[in-house]
Amino acid sequence: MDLYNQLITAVENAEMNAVRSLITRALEQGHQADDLLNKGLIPGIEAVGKKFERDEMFIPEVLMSAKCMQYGINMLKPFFTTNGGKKLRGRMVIGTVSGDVHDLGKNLVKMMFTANGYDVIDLGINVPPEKFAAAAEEYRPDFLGLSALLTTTMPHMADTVAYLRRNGSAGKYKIMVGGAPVTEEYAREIGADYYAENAIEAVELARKIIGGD
Amino acid sequence: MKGEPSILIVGELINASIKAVRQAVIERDAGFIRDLARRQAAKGVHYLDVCVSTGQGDENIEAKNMAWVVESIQKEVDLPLSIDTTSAVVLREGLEAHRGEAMINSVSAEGERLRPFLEICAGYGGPVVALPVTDKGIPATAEGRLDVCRMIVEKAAEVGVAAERLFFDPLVFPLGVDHKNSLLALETLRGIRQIPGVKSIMGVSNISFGLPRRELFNRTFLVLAAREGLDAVLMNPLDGEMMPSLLAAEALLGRDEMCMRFLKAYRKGLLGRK
Repeated sequence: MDLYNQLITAVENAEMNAVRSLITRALEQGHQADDLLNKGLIPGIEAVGKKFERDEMFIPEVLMSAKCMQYGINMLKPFFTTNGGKKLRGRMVIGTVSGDVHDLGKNLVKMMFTANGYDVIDLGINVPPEKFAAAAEEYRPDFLGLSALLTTTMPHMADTVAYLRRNGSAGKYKIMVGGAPVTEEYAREIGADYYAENAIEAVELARKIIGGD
Repeated sequence: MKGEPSILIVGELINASIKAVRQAVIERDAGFIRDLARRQAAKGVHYLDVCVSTGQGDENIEAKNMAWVVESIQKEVDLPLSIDTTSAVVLREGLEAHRGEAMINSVSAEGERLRPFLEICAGYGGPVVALPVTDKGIPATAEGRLDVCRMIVEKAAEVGVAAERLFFDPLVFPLGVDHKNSLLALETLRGIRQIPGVKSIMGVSNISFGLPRRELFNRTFLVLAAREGLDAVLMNPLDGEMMPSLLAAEALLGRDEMCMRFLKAYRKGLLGRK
C-alpha cells in the first residue's frame, strides 16, 4: 500500500499514532503537505462520510476520525504552500439560532468543516439575526450555517434568513440550514440556499458548491 | 396493585419533531394521533406527552393545534397528558382543553419564560417538568445544572408552586459524542435527589443517538437511572424491551414486594414472550 493509501486507512480507522508517523515520514521524504492533505487526509474523511451514510460507521467513529484528520492538518499547517501558509477550502460562519441553546448538531458540523480544511467561525448558541449579519459582514464567509434543534425555534431560523436577505451583504454568501426538525422543504420555504441532512452531507454539499477538489 | 412499574412512565411518541406526527398535526389527521395514543396507552403508560410544535405558523395556530390534539387523544384514551411546549399561549390552551390534571412540560430558566410559566403552574395543579437550562445554555457540569435546579425551586416557591410538584430533568446528551455523558446525567440525577422535596424525570432516548442498537442503550440506561432513584421517565413504550427491563429493575431494586407487579404484568402479557 502506498503512503497515501496508508494515510487514508489511518484516518478511516482513527489511528492517531499512524497518522503522526506517516506524516512525519512523508515530510522527511519530501512529500508536499498539500498532497498529503488532498490525497491522504481528505479522501480518508470522505471514505468515513460514505461509510457513515451507509450505516457502516457511527458518530463516535466519525468524530474520532475527524479528530485524527484535524491532528494531521495541524501537523501539516506550517508546510502548506498556498494561502499564506494556510490552505483553506473556504470559510463558514456558524451558529444556533436565537431562542435555541442546543449545540450538538452545530458542533458536529463545525468539526466536520474544520476537519475538511475550512476556516470556521462559531458564533455559539442563541445567536440573534443581527449577530449573524454582523459576522457575515466582518468575516465574509462562503457559507453561513444556521442550526435549530427545536420546532419552536425554527421560526427564528426563518426570521434570521429573512433578516439576512434584507441586509445588504446577503447574496455574497450561501445560507445553509440544518437541524433535527428542519427539512429540505422547510429550507426552501424560508428562502435558505441549501439544506443538509447531517454534518457529512453539509461538507459534501459545500465541496460541490465552491469546488476545491 | 396494578401491573405497572412505580416509576411514572410518559409515552414520548406524540411529538411533532417526529416527521409523521408533524404531518398528522398539519393535516389534522385525528385517526393517526388517536392510534398512536391508543397503542402507547395499551402498554400501561401513565401519561402521554404531546408536542405539536411543527415549526410552521405562529403560536396561536400552535395553540389551536394543541387543543385539537389534546381533545382528540382524550376522546380515545383515558389518560392524563403532558403538555409539551415552550410557549405560554400554547400551554394555557392545552391545559384549558385538557380533562383531568395534566403534566406541564416544561419550565426552564431560558429568557423571560420562568416567571410566567411558574405563574401558570401556580394557577393549575399537577406535576411540572423543569429543565436546568438558562440563556447561557445547559451547564456542562452536574453541579452547574443543580445550581439552576435550586434556583428554579426558589422561584417556584415564590409564586406558590411546591417543590413536590417539580420533576427535574438532568438532561441527557448522546453517549456517542462524549462517553461520559451518561455518567453526567446519572450524577445530576443523584444531585436532584438531594434537593428537598423535588422529583426527577428523564428522557432516555437521547443517550443512544448516533449509535447502532439504540434500544439496547435506552433500556440499559433506564435500568441505571432506576438505580439512582429516577421518579419518572419519558420513553418509547412501543419499544418492546423497555417496560420489561424497567419492571425487572424495580423488582431487583427491592421495590416490588414479592415481585407481584412483575408477575401481574407478565400475566397481562405486557412482558412479551412467555
